[in-house]
Amino acid sequence: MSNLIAEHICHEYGDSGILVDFTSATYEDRWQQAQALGDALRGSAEPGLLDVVSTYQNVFVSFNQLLASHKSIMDVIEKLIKSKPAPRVATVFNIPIAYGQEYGPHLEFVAKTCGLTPKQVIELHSGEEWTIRFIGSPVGAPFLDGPKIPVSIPRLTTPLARMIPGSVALSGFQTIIYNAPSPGGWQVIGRTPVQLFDLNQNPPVPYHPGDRIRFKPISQREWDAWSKPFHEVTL
Amino acid sequence: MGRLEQTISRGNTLSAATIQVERAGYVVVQDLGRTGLGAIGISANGAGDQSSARLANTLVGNGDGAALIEIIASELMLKADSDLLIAVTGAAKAVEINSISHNTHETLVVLSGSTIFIPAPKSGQRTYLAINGKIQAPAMLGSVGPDSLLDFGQRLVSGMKLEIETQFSVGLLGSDFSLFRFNFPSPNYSSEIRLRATVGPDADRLKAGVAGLAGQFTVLPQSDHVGMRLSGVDLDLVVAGEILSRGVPIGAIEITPSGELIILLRGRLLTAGYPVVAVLTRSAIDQATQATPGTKISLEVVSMDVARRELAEKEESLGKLSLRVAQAFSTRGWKKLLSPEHASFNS
Repeated sequence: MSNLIAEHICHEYGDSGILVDFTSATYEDRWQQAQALGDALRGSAEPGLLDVVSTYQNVFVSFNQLLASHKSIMDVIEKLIKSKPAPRVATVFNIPIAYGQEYGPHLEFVAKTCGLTPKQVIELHSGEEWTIRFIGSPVGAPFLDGPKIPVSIPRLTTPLARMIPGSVALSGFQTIIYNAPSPGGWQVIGRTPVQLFDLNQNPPVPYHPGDRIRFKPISQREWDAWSKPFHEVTL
Repeated sequence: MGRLEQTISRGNTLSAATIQVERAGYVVVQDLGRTGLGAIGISANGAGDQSSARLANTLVGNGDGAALIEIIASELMLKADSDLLIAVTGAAKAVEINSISHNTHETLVVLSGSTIFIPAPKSGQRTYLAINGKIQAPAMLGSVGPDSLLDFGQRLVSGMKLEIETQFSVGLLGSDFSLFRFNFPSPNYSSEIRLRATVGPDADRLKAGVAGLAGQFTVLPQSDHVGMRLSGVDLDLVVAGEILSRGVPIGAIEITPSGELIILLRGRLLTAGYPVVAVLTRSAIDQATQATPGTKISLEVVSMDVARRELAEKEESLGKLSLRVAQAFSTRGWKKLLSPEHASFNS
């Protein structure tokens, strides 16, 4: 990242929200700047801050208008951007995953769409670490860049009403993990037996944006060895 | 009067009051939702019409965010097994206590053994029933409100009992049975509404800018707590193109690739990739959640200053009401019924 102050534009977004748009030249810079500002805002204890959602190149902030204003929050944003917050140190998570069959009913479709075999898709998907770009809905889902497949994957024509928790799914060139039995429209290629979202933990998900995930393929026997598969755990 | 005297002799210590659910349509235990969890992808949810929910709690001496009952486009019949202090706000036009009709938007006393009936609204969608004290309900991540993605929430079904920790008992009334008349205006829900909005970041996706939002839109039946779907705009007037996923406010008005408009409500996901052409003001969001399918909506684009002023005025009027409630409670010697979170302590 350059030493210059990150280029950005602040917009008032509704009567109690602000959208920051980073405009630096590279995708990586914009994303890092958005994430660093998000972390800095969350750590700022600024009165009236409600939600801070940082994504690829944006930070959306909502505030309580009794305690803050567009102006007071924008002032804090400018101050924090000038202080050039440092990015977090990344952690790498190894996530076991059973690919295909009942665990990943759409693996065949994804392979066919890419002109690859299911095995090749698995190799691409588990062959590298993928960066968590942000955490979003539903319920703490990590949005990962990757795998590097040749063709963008379309969403399901009819979204599933209830994803099995732990489902690992693709859309476009991205992967997410469904943590809860929510509806979902992404193509499911596998499932992890690990419960990533845990209400007894604070925060309930162990990963942050910027952390990396590497998927480790497991066999049916290894799957069975997980004593309490996530899909049997009631949230 | 015999029964009333008997009730008085029971004293007025903190007790677990109970109510029995006799009949319930779509009714849930609710509060103002989960805020501040956007960074971990947890939606806000909570009462659709936040100002009506806050008003109901304020009228019974509770904090704004206390658990209360939300009744969605249906009816509710309860039997009180204890004396209760209640208030009903939102869509219902009346509340029947032992078949006698009372005003909504007022503080009401319910004697033990009474039946409370809240009929389904003729217009509007959401009715709130607040009860002085604390409704006992499990919370998740700081809220009792339902979250369909977390598979969490308490729906009221007939035969169920609710417990409320309250200090209220009719003994507190003394001889003064005259009740309250706060005369807080009860809203009217019309089949044609005007919603205020400010300009969104992608207004230029409409060839005419926000002027492209002139005219009437119809609320479609596929609407829910995540989003209200409206009949759309002519696609010829829309500039196509993707938007990178980013955080969106509640009240954002999105244009889908098919030209349909979606107003995001409190169950919205945290990020979205559709262009946002305008954002409803906070009180317009409350109004929108009261609109039934078929309602005609017109959008009035206002400046941010107007939106901010409207928000400040709304808060001020709720603050004033809370002070009147606090005063009325104190005059009757009911100070202990006021929660430390009651809005009057911040006004």
